[in-house]
Amino acid sequence: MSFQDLYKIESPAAPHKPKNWWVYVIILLVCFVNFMPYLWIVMTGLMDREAATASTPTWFFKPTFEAFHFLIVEKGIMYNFMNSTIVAVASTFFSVVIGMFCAYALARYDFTGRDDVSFWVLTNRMMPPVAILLPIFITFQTLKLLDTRLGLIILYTAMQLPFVVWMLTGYFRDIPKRYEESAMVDGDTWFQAFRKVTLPLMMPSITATSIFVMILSWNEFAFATFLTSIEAKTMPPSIMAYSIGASIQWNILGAAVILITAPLVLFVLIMQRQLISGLSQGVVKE
Amino acid sequence: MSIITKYGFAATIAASFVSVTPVMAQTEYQKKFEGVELNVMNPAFPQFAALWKFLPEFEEQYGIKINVDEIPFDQLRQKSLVEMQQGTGRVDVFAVDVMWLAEYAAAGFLAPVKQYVDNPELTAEGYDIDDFLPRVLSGTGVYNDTLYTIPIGAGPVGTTFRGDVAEAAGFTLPEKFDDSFTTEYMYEAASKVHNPENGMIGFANVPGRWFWGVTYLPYLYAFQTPETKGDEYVGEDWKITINNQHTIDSIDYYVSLKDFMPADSANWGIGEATQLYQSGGAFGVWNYQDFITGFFEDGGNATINGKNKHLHTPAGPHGVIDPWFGSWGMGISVDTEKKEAAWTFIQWLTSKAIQERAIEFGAGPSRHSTYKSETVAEIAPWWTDTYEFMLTETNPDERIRTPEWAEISDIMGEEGNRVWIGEIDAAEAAANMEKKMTNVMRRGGYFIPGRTDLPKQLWRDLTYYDRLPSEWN
Repeated sequence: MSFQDLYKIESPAAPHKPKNWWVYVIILLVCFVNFMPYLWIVMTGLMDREAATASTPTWFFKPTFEAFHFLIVEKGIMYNFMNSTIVAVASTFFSVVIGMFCAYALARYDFTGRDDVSFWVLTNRMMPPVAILLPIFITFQTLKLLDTRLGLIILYTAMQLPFVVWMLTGYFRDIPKRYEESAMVDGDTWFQAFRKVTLPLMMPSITATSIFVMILSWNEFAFATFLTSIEAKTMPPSIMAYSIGASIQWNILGAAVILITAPLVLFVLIMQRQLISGLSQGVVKE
Repeated sequence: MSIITKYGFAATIAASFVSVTPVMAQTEYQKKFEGVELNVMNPAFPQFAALWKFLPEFEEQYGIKINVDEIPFDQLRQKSLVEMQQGTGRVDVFAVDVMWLAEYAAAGFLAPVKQYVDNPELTAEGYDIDDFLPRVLSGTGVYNDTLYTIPIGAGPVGTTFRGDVAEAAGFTLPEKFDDSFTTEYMYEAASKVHNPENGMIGFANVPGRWFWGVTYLPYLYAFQTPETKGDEYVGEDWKITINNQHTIDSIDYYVSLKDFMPADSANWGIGEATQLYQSGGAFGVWNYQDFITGFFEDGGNATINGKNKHLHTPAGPHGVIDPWFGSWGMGISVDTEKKEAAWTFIQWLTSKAIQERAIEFGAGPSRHSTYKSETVAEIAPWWTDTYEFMLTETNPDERIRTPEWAEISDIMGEEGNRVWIGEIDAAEAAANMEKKMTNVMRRGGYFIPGRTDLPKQLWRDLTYYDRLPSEWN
């Protein structure tokens, strides 16, 4: 019997649960308030320019794909979309894989300066991007990484590592060490114990961390603006350039927001179960 | 009109362009650039978008591939400077705002272009550098007597009003540059149609802090007298002169436009004001000549297209009009190894043929021939109206050309915006401006006794800018 199944057992003596209809009203209200901005953006993306700039917002309009046509056909934004996908997926993969082992070491091994290492890893996240933009630009220039996807992948991996390490260190500490020790007593090496015992238990946490890292990489703007220009330009700087010129073109901005958020929304919806269980892992101590 | 007739008509128009405006011919020498790729960095502005529509023609004719890196205006200067200072050589052609030229040229970031203009192997015979308006070319691209950029367009700041709304209210707006269009007239006209309950405000102003250096200046200038022209910010000794009654009156007038604005207008920028006008919710709005097609006359907005009256900024109580000068030029990076190919691109982009054809899509003119073109007069008459102004009235140093301008502009915005929100009055703002600007100039070394290398105040004698374009180095 799984842990979740325990919740499904109801005692015959348990009192009848009253149906609180107002709970559903509140939930619907909260959902509506949260969903409205996105719904409005989607609608704006499907408006023509005149409807999008109308001073009186309208719910009923003739949908058009002119903003999508502008972005996809005239501006070729799908190339930027591809860049974003490659950079976000690759940097997420590398930062999570590398960060996972760092976090494991910090959680499991006692060595001199462990807390210091843990703290100094975090300091990397404290630096505002604008302060390190120029040094990174010069480094990229020297290494010929300017306007390359490889450059962004390396940078984002380095940027997200501290976040991954800190998130996963806590989760690793929540998994009792004796599970691995038992496996090692049975003859596994530490790596086998890690792979067969700890890793499956960590999957929800790793997935949740990956989702956050993916979102951070996908939406990164400042470095993408300054370090890329033609070949490796990602979605955020492209959207800024195409929709916000001397004035804001709201329907194009709406369409751009749909294009940039759709993959993330889809990704999170698919991973939703993992995300919730990953976030709640460690809340209940055994 | 049937589809066939429509296409036939379009073909006739296209053919007439080809026959009237000579196509730039590729020279034998330019054939060696085939296969070259050029990177161009520019702001995401409508006049550039209009020009880029013709890129396929250039690529086909010269075999040079153009990669355009469009950057939001807010990031363009920083990104350009990072590329320039690091000498990456990745960007071959930079779009340069007139306000940045001195900084870029003085730092040696741009290559002088006259050598290419004079080279018949690189410049088509019909290019005719002297076809550019002298003040536009020199104001945009000359620094220390040397030509660095070629203007893709230049224009003044103005105002746009709904002619149909005025007529419905029983009055007719004056023509552009008519003396009767004064600050007083503008306020009264806006009052007549101001009816927010019915969704029409009198004037959509742009009082956000950043924008004062653009949208307030027309009033700072308008409230001068003929005697105080030239002393708007500094005297001949570079001492700040802004704390005076003309400044106070101009701020009071600018802030009086708040009467027509919603309560949350303190941070309004060009986007908010323009959007309200585009949606039919405002009678008048600020404009920049280069944005007129893109913002108000692009054919995609039945609410306002064809109903607008594009005027200058109003004359002040003493009859003075702001001599605004805004422009963008194209310059070659000093670090690129493809300078000749880059020039080939610039001379094509700024040629008579391309400039005239791009007007239809929202680009601006900088040549005599374009201003005088009958086609331009038909499709964008607001340019024809502006020719004499750009020839003789505009002042390339309206925003004084010193490295301190950005700070001066910011101080104006900061103090002016405080008046807009009611924190201080105009007199206090003018006094604060003078104090802060004086500190800026002191820091810039303008008050060091005996210093003789201060820049010339060219706005006091604009004949400097009237030299024939071919005479610059």
